[in-house]
Amino acid sequence: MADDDVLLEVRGVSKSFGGVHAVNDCSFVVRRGSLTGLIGPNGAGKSTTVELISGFQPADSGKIVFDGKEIQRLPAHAVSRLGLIRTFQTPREWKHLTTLENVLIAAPDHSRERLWRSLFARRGLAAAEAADRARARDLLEEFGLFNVRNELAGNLSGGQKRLLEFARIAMARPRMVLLDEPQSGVNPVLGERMGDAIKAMVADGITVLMVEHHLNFVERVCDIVHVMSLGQCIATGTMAELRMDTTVIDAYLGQAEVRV
Amino acid sequence: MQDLLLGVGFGLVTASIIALSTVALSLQYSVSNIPNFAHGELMTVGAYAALVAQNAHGNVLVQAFAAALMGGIVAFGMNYLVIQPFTRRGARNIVLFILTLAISLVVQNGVLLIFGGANVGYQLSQGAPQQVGPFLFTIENEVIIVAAVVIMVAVHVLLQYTKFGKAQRAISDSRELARITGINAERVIQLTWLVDGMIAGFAGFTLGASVGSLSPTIGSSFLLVIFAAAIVGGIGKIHGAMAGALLIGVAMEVSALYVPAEYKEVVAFALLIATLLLRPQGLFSAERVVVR
Amino acid sequence: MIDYVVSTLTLGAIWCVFTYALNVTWGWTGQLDLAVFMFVALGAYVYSVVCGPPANAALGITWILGLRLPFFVGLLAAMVVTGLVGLLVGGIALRRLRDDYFAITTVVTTLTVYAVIAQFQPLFNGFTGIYGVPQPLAAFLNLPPTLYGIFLFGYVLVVLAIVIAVMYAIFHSPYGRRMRAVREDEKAAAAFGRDVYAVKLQAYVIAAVVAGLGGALMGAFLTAFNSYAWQVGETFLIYAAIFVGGSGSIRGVLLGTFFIAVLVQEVTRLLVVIPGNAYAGDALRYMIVGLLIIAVLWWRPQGLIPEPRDHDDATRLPEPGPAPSAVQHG
Repeated sequence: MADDDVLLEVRGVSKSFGGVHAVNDCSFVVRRGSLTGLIGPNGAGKSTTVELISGFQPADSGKIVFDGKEIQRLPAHAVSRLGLIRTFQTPREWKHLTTLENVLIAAPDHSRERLWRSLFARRGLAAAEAADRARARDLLEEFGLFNVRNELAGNLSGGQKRLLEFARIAMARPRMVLLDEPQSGVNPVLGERMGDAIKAMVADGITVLMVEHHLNFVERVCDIVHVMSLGQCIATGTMAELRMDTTVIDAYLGQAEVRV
Repeated sequence: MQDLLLGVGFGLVTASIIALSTVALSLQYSVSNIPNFAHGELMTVGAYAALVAQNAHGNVLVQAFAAALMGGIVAFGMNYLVIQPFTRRGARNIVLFILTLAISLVVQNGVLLIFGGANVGYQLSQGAPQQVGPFLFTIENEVIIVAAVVIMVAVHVLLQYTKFGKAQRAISDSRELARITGINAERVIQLTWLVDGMIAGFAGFTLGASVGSLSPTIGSSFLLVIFAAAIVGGIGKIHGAMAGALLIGVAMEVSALYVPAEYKEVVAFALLIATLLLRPQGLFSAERVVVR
Repeated sequence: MIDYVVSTLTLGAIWCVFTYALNVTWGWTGQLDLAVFMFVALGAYVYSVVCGPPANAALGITWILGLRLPFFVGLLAAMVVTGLVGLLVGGIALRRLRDDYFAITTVVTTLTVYAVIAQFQPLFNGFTGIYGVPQPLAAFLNLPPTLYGIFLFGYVLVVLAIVIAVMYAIFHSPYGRRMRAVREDEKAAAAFGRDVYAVKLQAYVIAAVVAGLGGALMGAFLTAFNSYAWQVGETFLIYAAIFVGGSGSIRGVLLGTFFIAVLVQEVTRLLVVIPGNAYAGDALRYMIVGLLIIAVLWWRPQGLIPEPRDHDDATRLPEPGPAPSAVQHG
């Protein structure tokens, strides 16, 4: 695979917490424009890897390269500004702001957020704000949240909050999205909806790396899948290939329950 | 050198009082995970309870007991009436902390209302200071140090060898897991606060006796020094609390030889802030509980 | 009578400025800053040494400066100094600490500054403090006391109006919205590119500047300032005001401050004096404030006037598209 095909590279990354090696010399790549899955049994280090890539935790060693730029030392907000945005396992909406405001805040251009501008250049803000609002409304409509746009986000149902996460991501126009278990605790109907949204993202040119436990879902939507176990990436391939791979089977059989 | 040793000696007495209070605070923190800003008030009510007992002609033991009892009641009440109801409602940590501030306001001013603001003399009979090794202690100083050690040993025994202690440690490690194994977390927490209050009340009694007079702010003026000790030692860890108290107590008294006495507390504060910034988990704790 | 009313209203208006400062940190950014009154005191002290006369060393009184400059220089100096101190304190304390430990650090800082000011005479004359500070434009206008009192009230009102206008502008702006996002969920804010530390620090400095401005007004109003003017309890009054009135709400601040000011005044007046206990009034007042804080947090944590929420009026109706999906109520 050509190098400029690779958008994200994780190279020899390690992280331990108080003696426990959560991530242990992990390496894999994510190709531009792909929908890549990241699976593995509990405790494999998937969530920690997400935290490391997105800058919420510093890696102990190794490199993380995003579109040719090393990001392992960058704080979370800096990684996000580069166009790599993550979601969270449980929705993290801004509770006492409205649904619309939640989407508005995700807009990628932050240049209006200056104290000077809020005090002295208000007229210039209004037009840009109106444009963002219009876009936010369109996105809310797309995700079926238009009618609750003036509700406080904290009052939304669980399903609505998850859709709000997608709307926010869409608003942010990222180059790549890190989805952290989007299907966890989600009913099948909503799950379908979210699957469609994820595929639409990829169709729009956004690269997706998705951590997931629901292997059927992964099989349906992912181009390629990495398997992690005990902090390392142990295999890569399509789900069909991986189902036959003995190292993968061993890793999963070590678990009490396999949701396949 | 002589002065330094004397300073260290005073430091040991101060450290003993701080240690008692810090151990109490650590116990409570380990199950509730909020710093209790009303903790100083537990010492205050203990000291005043001892005073009342003394005025009622109780002997020293009765006074000490009254102090512990009062401290225990107030602590239990704080938790039972305010902290736990809010916790059941899912209140955030910062709100619980604000509540402890409000409680300290109420209790401290309650004491002010009942006893007035003037300093009230409180004396236990003092013998002449005796030479104990390189230090100079009065009988009373010795009693305080011994009592502190005895209580800390008792706490250690309580935590390590009793059912309550095991439950308490389980909850401090993980409340969720503890609940799953059938431990009645609320009940254990209530009892922990009770023990915390009793020890703090007793510490108040020793503080009052050591200072020689009481005022409604006697406890709260000590509060931040106690926080300093708890945080420097490693908050939530009992042994850390003891070590932190020793360090802070000695540092304060020794520094009094070199800086004006009014700045003694500032030394403790400086150590507190340095710890929070450089090693927030404290010297002896492995947990990282204070950092975002 | 008029003098009493006017001076009470003036004091109330000055307290509103303090509460607006706290509204920026606690109300909009969710930081429990317990040093707010420290900034007020610093503002008052700085104003006093910039606008006031030099200390009379012959009487053993010492304070720095004493420049006798006009009042607006004093206001500006107060804001600059408190802003810088806020930058220092916030810069250090906000770096890594959890909310409650941040609060403890602010308390410790306040007590340390208090101790230094009280003990280090040459700075602000220790406990006794500074006095003889001229009131703004008093000499120039040369009004009789009652009329000057009304002028001073008007002057404070103008400053308060400017503060409110600034607060309003901040709230209804992307800058303000960003602050509230950080308040609501820091991790999510960081995930969407906001530098949480920078946002909190900026809010802290803004609050410090506003508190310093309030302190300067206080110094001008009192014509003196000393250690007795800033005790721990004052901070709780401001917090009570913001909890009762409504954290985050601009109108709430006014209502809350008015409520607490009236409460504090009236409780003192209606109390039966308990013989032998000179502090009964104070004690009871603060007990009521403490209980009030607990009660408000239990029954109405958003305060009397909750923070206003955005309302989007779309003029265009959504197109009739596919039937609303079941997921809306999923």
